[in-house]
Amino acid sequence: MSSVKVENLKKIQKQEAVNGISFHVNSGELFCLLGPPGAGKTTVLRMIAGLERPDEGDIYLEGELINDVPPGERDVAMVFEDMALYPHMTAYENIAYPLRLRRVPRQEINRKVREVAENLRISHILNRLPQTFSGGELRRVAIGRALVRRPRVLLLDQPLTDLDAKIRQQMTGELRRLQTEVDQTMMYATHDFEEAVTMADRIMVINEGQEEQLDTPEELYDRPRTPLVAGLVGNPAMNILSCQSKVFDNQLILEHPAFRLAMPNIPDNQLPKEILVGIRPEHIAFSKGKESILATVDIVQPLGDQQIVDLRLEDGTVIKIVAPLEMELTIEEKIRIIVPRNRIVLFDGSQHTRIDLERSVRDDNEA
Amino acid sequence: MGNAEGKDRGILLELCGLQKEFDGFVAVEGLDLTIVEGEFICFLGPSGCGKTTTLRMIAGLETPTSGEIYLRGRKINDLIPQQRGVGLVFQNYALFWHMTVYDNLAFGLRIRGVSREEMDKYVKDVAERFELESLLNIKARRLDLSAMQRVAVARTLLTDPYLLLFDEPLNNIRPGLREILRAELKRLQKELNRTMIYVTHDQEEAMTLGDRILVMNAGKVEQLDTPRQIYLHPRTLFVADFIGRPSMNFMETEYEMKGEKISFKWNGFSFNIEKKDLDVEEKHLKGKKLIVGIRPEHILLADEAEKGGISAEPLSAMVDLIQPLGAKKIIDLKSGDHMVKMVSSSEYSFKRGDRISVIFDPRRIHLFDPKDGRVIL
Repeated sequence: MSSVKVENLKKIQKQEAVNGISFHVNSGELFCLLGPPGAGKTTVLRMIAGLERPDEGDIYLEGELINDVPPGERDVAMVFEDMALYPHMTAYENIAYPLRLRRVPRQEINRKVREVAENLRISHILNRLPQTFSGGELRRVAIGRALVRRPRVLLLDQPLTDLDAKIRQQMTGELRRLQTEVDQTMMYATHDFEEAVTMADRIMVINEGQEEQLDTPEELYDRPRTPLVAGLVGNPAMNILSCQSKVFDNQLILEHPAFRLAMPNIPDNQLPKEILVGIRPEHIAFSKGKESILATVDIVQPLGDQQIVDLRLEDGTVIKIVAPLEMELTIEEKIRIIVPRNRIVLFDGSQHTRIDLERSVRDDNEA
Repeated sequence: MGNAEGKDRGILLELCGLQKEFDGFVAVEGLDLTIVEGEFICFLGPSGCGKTTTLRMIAGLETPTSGEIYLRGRKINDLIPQQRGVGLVFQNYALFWHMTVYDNLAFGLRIRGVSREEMDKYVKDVAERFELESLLNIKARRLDLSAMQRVAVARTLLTDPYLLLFDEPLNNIRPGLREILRAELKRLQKELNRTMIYVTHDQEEAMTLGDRILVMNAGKVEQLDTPRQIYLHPRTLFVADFIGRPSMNFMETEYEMKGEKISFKWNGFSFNIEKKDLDVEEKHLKGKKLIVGIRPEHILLADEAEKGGISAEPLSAMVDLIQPLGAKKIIDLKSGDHMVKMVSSSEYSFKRGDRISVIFDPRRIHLFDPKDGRVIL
């Protein structure tokens, strides 16, 4: 049985509107809502928490319709973007608060608070006030307060935004480990793809209140369904290049002002004239082969054991590729690259939907 | 890159023994730095390390307690900010939000009493170069962030500075957009061929932008080097830990010489590394303990490493967590009570709870002295 089920959820409003969203979250799953700011992620969470009423649609919790159940009786906990801790209470008192409200015996409160604090590695700050917390500690205490009563669903609204990239990444690992260990159903909203893919079992990408794609992190990366998903999942983002399609000699030819790609097979149905070709920077290889493309090094940005290289194609189009750090590249240097045809993704230029060619694309230009 | 080219260029800025104290607290301690024309230098460090104070001393907004600042050979310690030939771009750009792009650009020229025709010409020239022509009559608050950045840089350039200073301009901008603005700024710097100093606490920003990076901690210089050198050869534990995401793994080991090998004992088990693989002179090995550092991306699956001709003694560890990240995966490995992180881009079939065999790429191991935190060479 799914833990949370949402059917055709709508909230008509000027900002953060939700326009017909359906999904189910399995028990014990970490389910992520990923989308640009204003996509409607927070509104979905607030409707599940009962803080906002949907204009249309149904919300089920463990099979029970909860549209009319008041928030306090839903057994759902939410961590807000601003954390909203009680500033005059210590970490211990903040975490104990929801249990005290429910008149849990003192000894049990003590046991549960200490257990959660240990899980979140905040045992040493239990007697301190929020004003003394670091960004990471603040988040841990807020999550502890929501987790301590083991709600049926824990909702997290962009809890790691504003943290330093390094601490944010460290916390995704800790949160994911904790979530698996205590087997807590979680829903998580974020605009940061890294947080989403490093934590979630499944991700729903939403934009303007509607679903773009619902999939595992791996599928979102390998097979994005729209250019928006392709641009959102990955860093550096996928290169999206507009090409004209032609069928010639039973081959699909994709023509760009700076290159042409001959695809070894064609789909059964009619192809649109304009096709958007999606190429991941990390899939572009250096090669002098006969189908290679001439490019000029524009800028080079080292990042860890790699460097992100902006290349200028002959017509002035700039694309990004990823090269090993060892490789010496100079600005304005001419190089030749090759696009592996089996790793590109095609989108309809006007509909913005993915076009699937036959799966048996030959691997011939990687050799 | 910038470094090598810089050899035949003129020296633009020199800081000699620059020191700043606030009520006895030493914010910047004896800083020496030479910057050549056309260089892009990043000041990098955690908050409170002295990077912004240093920038403010160069700009003339703080007076050094001691030490000298030379710009093009001329001492500028006693000059007021406007006379220094230095332009500062503030955090979040600090444009005049109620004024048009044109008036923002013209502001500095106007207060300097430049004639109307001349001002108009300068503004239009710079607007063309920064692709702002169509935005000249728009109020600054209505611009997108990319245009704001261009206006801020263009406005500063119109004062014709020898040196452009940036104080964390991308601080509050959401991820995704930051990377785009960063690339634009880097391209702009190359095109304009201007000398820039850029202050940031974000190591990725510094790595992607700087020709050289000055890493600071507690008022002192930890390392001044190219991004590549800083990543590959960190000189101190602080730099090794601060640069890279996820962070380098550190292990406090006891070691012993065994013929051609060094044997490290850590956390109940030991591993041997051939001396020839390590970039270390034996005479520098003193004491009983060493901190071994290895980056997550330099821990390799043993069978793949072997295929790639890298041999080292394999270690067995349990997979505790797998986090997919595009083409890569961040994997937490558990060994006893200790956790190490590895980053792998290979296809594999293991899952949480499996035991796998890994090696530490011996050519990529860093050794630090636990006493002073300095690298051993």
